[in-house]
Amino acid sequence: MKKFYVVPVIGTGTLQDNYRPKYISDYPITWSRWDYGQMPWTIVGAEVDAATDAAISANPDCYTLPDNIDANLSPAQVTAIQNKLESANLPAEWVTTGFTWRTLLKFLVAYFIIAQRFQGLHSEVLFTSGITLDMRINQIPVSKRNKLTTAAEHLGLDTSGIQPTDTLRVALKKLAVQWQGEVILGNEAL
Amino acid sequence: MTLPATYSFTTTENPLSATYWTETAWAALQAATGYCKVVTTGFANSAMYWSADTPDAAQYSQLVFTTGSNSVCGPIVRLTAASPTFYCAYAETGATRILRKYSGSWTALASSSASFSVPEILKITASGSTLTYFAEGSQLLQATDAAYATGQIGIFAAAGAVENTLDDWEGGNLGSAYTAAGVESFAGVYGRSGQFKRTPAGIL
Repeated sequence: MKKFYVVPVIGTGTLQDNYRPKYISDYPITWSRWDYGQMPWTIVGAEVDAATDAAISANPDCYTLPDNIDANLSPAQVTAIQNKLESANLPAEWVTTGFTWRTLLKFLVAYFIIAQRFQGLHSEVLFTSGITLDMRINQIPVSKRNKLTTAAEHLGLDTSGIQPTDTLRVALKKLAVQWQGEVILGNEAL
Repeated sequence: MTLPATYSFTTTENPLSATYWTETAWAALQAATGYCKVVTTGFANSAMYWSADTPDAAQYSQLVFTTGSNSVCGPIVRLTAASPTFYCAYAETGATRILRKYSGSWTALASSSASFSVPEILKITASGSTLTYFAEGSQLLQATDAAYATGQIGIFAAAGAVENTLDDWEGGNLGSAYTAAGVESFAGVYGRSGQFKRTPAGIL
C-alpha cells in the first residue's frame, strides 16, 4: 500500500551516507520524496506493507498521513499538520478542514519546488540563519530577496504581486498558488 | 553532431576524446577498448559530459553498466560542470536510486531495493521537474525535483576500491524518436557473435 510520511532527513551528505528520509530508508521498499532545500524534514511517499508502516509510524518524530488521502482533514489533523509543517519552515496557516490530504500535498509541493530552485540556482538555502516565515520582505537582506525573485521567475512564477510589506509566509503563498507542474510523490503522480 | 548521440568506447582514450567529451571539476573518465572506466589513480570521483551537442532541458542519458556490484556509477542529466551538480541514476547491490548532486553533498530523491545484474541498461530522463529512472527499459523510479532546470548529459563514476566499467552511452532530447534499449547481442554463423545498436536512424 502507498503511505505518506513527514520524517526527518538523516545523513551527512556524502555519497555513501547521502541525505535521505529517516526510518524509511532502513527498509527494502520503494519511495520517493520532496527535498525542501536541505531543510531537516521531508515528505515521503512509500510502498509499504502493514508491518513496515506500523514500524515507521511508531517513531515519535514521524507523522503519518491517513491511509485515505482523499479524505478531508479533521480539526485535530489540521492542528497537527500545521505544527509539523511550521516547524520545518513550511507555511501552513492556510490549511483547513476544507482540504483533502491529496490537495494539501499538491499545494505543498510548490513550496518545495521554490526552495529547490532557489538552492539549485544560488548554491545556498532559502532559510539561512535568521530568516523566518514571519519576516517582511523588506526585512530580508536585499541579496536574499533578489535571489528569491530570480528563483521564482526562473520557475515562470509572477512576482509582481509581492509587496515589500508582505511577510515571507505571504509571499511564498502568492508564488505557490501559481504552480501548475506535475506532482510526483511515492513514485507516482498525485 | 546531432542528438541522440551514442558512444561505444571502441578505442583506448585517456581521457575520453575532447572532440565529444568535456571534463568537469572532477577527474576525467578514460576508456579501454570496448568500455569506459573510472580513472583508477586515487580512485577519484569522475564525471564528463557530452559536449558535441547541447541538449534541450527535456533530456536523457543512458549507459550499459557492465561490471561491478558495489561500484557507484551511472548516467547523468542536467549537469553543470562547476562543482559539479547533476541528477543521476545509479545501481548497486540492494539499492537503486535517483540522486541529486548539489555542491558538496548528495541527496537521495527516490530509492528502490530492486536487484540488478550486470550487464544492465541504466537510463535517467529529466522532463520539467520530473526525473525518471529506467532499468532495462522498464520504469523503476520517479521523483519531483526542481533544483536544476537545464544542463548537460553524460556519465559519472564515484570513487571506489574497484574499477567501474560502463559501455554504450547514449544521450539526447526527450521527444525525439528513440528506443529505450540501445544494444542487443546476436549469435551468428561460424561461431561469430557481437552486438548491434538500435537508434532512430536504424541499426548500426
